[in-house]
Amino acid sequence: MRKILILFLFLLSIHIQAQQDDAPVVGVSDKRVEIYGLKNARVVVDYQTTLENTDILISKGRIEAIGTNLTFPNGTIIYDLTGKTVYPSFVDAYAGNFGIKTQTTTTEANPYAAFFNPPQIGRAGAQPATPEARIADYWNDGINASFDVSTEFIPDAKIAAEYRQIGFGAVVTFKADGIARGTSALVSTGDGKSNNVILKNKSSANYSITRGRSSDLYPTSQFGIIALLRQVNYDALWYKQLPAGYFHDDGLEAYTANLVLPQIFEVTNKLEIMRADKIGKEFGINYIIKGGGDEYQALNDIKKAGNKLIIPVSFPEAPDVKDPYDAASVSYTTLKHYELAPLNLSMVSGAGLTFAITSSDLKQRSAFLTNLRKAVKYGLPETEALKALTYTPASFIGASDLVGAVKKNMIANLLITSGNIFSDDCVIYENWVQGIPYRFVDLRIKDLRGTYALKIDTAQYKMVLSGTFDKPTIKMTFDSTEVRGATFTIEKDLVSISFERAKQKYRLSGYINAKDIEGKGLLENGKWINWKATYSSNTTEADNSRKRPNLTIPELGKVVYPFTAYGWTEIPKQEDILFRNATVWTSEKEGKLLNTDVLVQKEKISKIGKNLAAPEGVRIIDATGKHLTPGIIDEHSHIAMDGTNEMGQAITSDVRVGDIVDPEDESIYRELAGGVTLAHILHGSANPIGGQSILIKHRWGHNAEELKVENQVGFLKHALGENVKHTTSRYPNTRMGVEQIIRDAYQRAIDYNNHWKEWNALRPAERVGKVPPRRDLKLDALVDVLEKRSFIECHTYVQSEATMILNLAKDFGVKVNALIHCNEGYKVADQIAEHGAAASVFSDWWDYKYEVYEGIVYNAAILIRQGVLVCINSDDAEMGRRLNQEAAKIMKYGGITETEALKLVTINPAIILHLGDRTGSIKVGKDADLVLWTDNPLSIYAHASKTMVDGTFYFDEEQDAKMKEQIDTERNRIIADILHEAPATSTTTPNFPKR
Amino acid sequence: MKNKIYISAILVLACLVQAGAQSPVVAPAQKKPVMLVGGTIHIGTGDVIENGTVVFSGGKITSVGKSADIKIDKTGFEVIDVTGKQIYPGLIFPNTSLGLVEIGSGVEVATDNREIGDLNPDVRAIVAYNTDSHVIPVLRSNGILLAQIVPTGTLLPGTSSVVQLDAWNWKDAAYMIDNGIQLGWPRKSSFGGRRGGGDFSQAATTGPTTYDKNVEALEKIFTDAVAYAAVEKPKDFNLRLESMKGLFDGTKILFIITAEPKGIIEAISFGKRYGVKKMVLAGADESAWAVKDFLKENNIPVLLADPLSLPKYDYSDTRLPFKLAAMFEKEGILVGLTYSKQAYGNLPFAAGQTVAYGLTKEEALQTITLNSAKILGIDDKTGSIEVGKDANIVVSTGDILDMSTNNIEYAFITGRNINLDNKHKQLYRRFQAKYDNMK
Repeated sequence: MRKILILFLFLLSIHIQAQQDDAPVVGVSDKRVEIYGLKNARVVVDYQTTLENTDILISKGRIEAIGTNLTFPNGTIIYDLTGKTVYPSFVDAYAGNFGIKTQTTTTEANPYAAFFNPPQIGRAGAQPATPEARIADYWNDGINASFDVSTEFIPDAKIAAEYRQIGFGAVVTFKADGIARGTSALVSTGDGKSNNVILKNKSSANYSITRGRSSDLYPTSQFGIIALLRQVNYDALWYKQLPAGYFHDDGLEAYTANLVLPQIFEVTNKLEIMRADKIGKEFGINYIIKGGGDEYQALNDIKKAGNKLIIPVSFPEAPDVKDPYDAASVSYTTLKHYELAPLNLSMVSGAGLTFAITSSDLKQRSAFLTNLRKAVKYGLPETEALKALTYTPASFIGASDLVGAVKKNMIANLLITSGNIFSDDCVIYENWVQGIPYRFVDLRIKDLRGTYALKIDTAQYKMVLSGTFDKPTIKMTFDSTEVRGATFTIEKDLVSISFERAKQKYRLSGYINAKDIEGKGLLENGKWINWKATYSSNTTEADNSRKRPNLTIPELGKVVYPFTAYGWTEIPKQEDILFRNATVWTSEKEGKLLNTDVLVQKEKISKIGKNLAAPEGVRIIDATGKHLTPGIIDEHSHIAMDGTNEMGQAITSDVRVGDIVDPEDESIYRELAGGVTLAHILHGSANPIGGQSILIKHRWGHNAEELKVENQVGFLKHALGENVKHTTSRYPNTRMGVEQIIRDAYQRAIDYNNHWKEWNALRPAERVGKVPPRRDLKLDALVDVLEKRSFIECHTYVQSEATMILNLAKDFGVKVNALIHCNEGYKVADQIAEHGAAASVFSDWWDYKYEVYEGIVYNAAILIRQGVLVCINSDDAEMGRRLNQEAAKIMKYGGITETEALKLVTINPAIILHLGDRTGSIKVGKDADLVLWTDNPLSIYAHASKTMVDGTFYFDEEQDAKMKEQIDTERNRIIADILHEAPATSTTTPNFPKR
Repeated sequence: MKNKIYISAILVLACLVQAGAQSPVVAPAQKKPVMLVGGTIHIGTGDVIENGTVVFSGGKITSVGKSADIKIDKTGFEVIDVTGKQIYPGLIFPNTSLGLVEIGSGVEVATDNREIGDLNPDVRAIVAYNTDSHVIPVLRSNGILLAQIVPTGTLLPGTSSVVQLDAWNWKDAAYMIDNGIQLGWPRKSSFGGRRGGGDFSQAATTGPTTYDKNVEALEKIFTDAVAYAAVEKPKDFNLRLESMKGLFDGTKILFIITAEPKGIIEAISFGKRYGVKKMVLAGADESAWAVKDFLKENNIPVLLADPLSLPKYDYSDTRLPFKLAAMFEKEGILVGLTYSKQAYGNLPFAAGQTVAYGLTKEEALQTITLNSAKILGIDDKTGSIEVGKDANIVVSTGDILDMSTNNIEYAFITGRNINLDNKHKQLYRRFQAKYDNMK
């Protein structure tokens, strides 16, 4: 480290004055005209073209000419590069925070710290204060579109040197903080004033899906962030239409202006790529997406989305698996990704995607070349690698005429190397940035590696030099015996060797003479001797045993979908199935049918009856002694979502669960094992009006969009009581306030809707000079409720609040679709029935907090008897896989029949979710969402044997057992590979010297 | 029909108890000998007697057998015909905060299970046990008659006791006072979320420094306790060390709570090093399975934390938590069950859940009766329907392990016929009356 610093200071002293500058001269000027001529090099002009024996003329930081036998003007400083290879220096389109003074603590990035310890408690109900209100800028601190990186950029010499060492000549710096991050700048990695190194300001506009160190509480979650981004886009559109003098906002102005720039969006994993793409496309933006290095896990989806990508080469470190007990906590997913991450670029490239490679995300920047070369060994074609490091990143930011190639008039950013940059033993001698050479290895150092006959005084030895050419290691043998402890150092043309043999210490000093080395030595007794090493061959195999073995690619496992345990190598396909001789629980008025066949064709239930004829090609499943039921529907769940609550505001109706569906949540699979085929995924209960929920089917292995139930209606989460009011820093703090804030929101929605209606009724001419209404996505969601496109799902506990929300809804002319939890529903069952709301309840949960102290196990039974449509939900990934048992409890607690009990988790939730005509029962024409049980499904002794969604089996007990075996085999194999591979390759140091 | 029968049963009960949400009257001591005739007796040892009779008198079981074989003059007996019904030992709920925590969360003042500090072996659950908790009658209604109430926390949170669930105050409730000391073995690591998508930041990882410090603290107090126990009449009385004496003479059980394989080995080795006579691995999960051989060699029984939980790792068997009880049983390791949610009477169903995954129904029953009695050190008094044991018995209409058939008709604790009313039933009646009156 210190050596690097010294090297850097040394270089700085030479070169700093060579920069262009508009500043006045202080003292005696030292301007030097530096014209360089590079001769006889092998020049990789760009990723497509390589020229042999080529000369390059460099002047004023630019490439003046390139060709064979160039005539150099007088005064040109000539470099003979015979045998050397010149590459364009690399371009990194993603150098976050380079030269930006920011980034204090990470704890600030945690919104919850602020949430639970509000900086300013003040009066109860006060909104938390924003510590640093910005002036005339967007209201939310996460939206920082007006930030221009050139106003803060000061080159960081230490980081610049690190970039140069790994081959970069130009990088795009930006402030890696916040959601909208403002604009970036393409800067060189040279030393000098900001003015000199900024090559192109406003080279991109940057965004991310993380909140950063925003001083605003909102948003606290990813779906909140997406909702905010969506709103910003509408605000920007609105802002453009405003009449002059009405309203000024730096943020919106900048946001709009920035839209003409390349739009770069940072995410951390492949699911977020799809999310970013989706929000972009809503507004016609094709984001260039900086991914997390796991793109191979969702390649087809990413290909379909078609975004340009910026991909890191930060492979995960080998997990610690030395202790078998500790290794138990290393997940299958971690092991798989560890194994396959180096394959990522190869697969991305193979898929034909446009991608740039970034050195971003590396723990140590110095690991870049090692990892890059590893990616090449794993199949990334060298030309693709070079393209992704030069042309592609340059073209992303519209700078391919400036950097990324060694061509006339381009900036003189180039690398002088010993050969193929993608091979392990390649050395970068110098990285030229803006025409200035930065040296790492002396070009004059000779490659001495090989086998020598070494004669010292009269004795004959064999000497093998191997390792890296600038720092070779020595192995000496005398009389076929290895001489231990020999050292070899090379300093330009001079060489020193020391060793001990037969209790005699030898110290030799010499010089290089063509291919041989010769000189004098001094013995312990002060006697001088002669020595000479005569080059015999270039073989160094004698040393192979000590060398790190060449990286061999282990046998790799397959990518599984989703990328977690129990993911598929091949997603199951729909089959036509005849269930023969089952006890069929229809959840229809037919009730339970004995010895009945059910035929499934093309995703639907096509026939129900006795002794059905099996059409050709149909697979028959003998269901004798088994029970076939409709797939279980969980009316209230929080599985398969990234995050649960947007806590930053009380009304977050603009937040959409559909934006953050997580198709990789193993809960989906585990629920399939419990017979669940469909779930309603809701926003949490932290807000009086939370977010919009989504219905998913458990199509395990499919992507987020494919999980969503087709043509579903909307549901909007509302919540009352303790969860809403227990945060003392936010209004409301009482059930009184809860009622008011919801009433106010709907009242505003009505007004808002009227404003729009008035506006829409105006003729274009009448609109001139008028302020258009601002599209407000929170209120849009409420208008949807008022106009019955979306339906209220309201979390309630005590009876007062249940009555309140029913009345409030009635006041606004709408119906509450379902009261969730509704633990005191039994107290007001008559009112609920009269209103027509359904109740989505637990079977026996109570007492877990104060507001459920009067929750009773007979709740469901009372509600049912008073005519309320009731379903039993889980709200819990564990209980979600035993919903049949939860339904059975209502037989115990209230004495309903077994067929009525099963309806509580099948047809009833289907009706509540407006899917009653499509699923939830076994009826001809309905979706083939079915479960085959080993026993009466309401008995605790039953378990799901097979679970089918839309005619496809996504769970099968036998297959489950097989998958478990495969998972164990795979884990053992990867762990063995890690153990054999130690020391871990991810921590290897680069092979160029650190001086 | 079935509903109506149910409602009328409830109405009958309603006449017996006052309306309003309060715990029912505690049953008086058994005065008359009782004879349960004609039921299927699930002894708790694995044996089943069809058409059997159980007789108990003065709180103790006096005869058990085939009805035909029990020839006793019934004069002076209360004879209860339980033909077609199922007779079970009273269920035992180990490792719970019942009576210490009235409301699960949000009401701090209703919480009495966690004392300040890490080294409180002396604090006793029994003295804080609230016999009037509304939760207790709810559990009783599902057949749970005994519970081990435990202080919770890290390192040494306190001393547990076993209580019977029908009492006027904790002195009456005490079934076995101070039966064990809880040891929360320090954790070395904590697991992060799946993809950081959660709403709350993960608790900070407990680094090795904290771990070492905690182990050191435990070593110190155990060293001191051993030394203290060696002195017959210590000059300086020390409540903490005094409370630990029982660990070294076998009168108290060390209940080890840890869910890391190495933690289990370390904690048990630790106990052995200090001469702890009886140890139990409480709160066990699939990590205990990883060290099953060690548990077996050391003859350590396990209390499974909760069969109704999710698998621990992504690669775990999809239904592993359901299977663990059978796996331990087949290894010959004594296994008892507990259930993490204290207010729900789901302990019998947690046991029932293991039946589809390898245990027989009688074995499953044992995991919540005799096995737990052995683990808690009360098997000389209860856990099975055997002559000489306390008459802790429940009668269910159907299979007690299955929610669709579990219906407790009678429960006896030391022969006392327990009132099975509870808050839920009371509120049910109250509001059913509202709707009835509306007709």
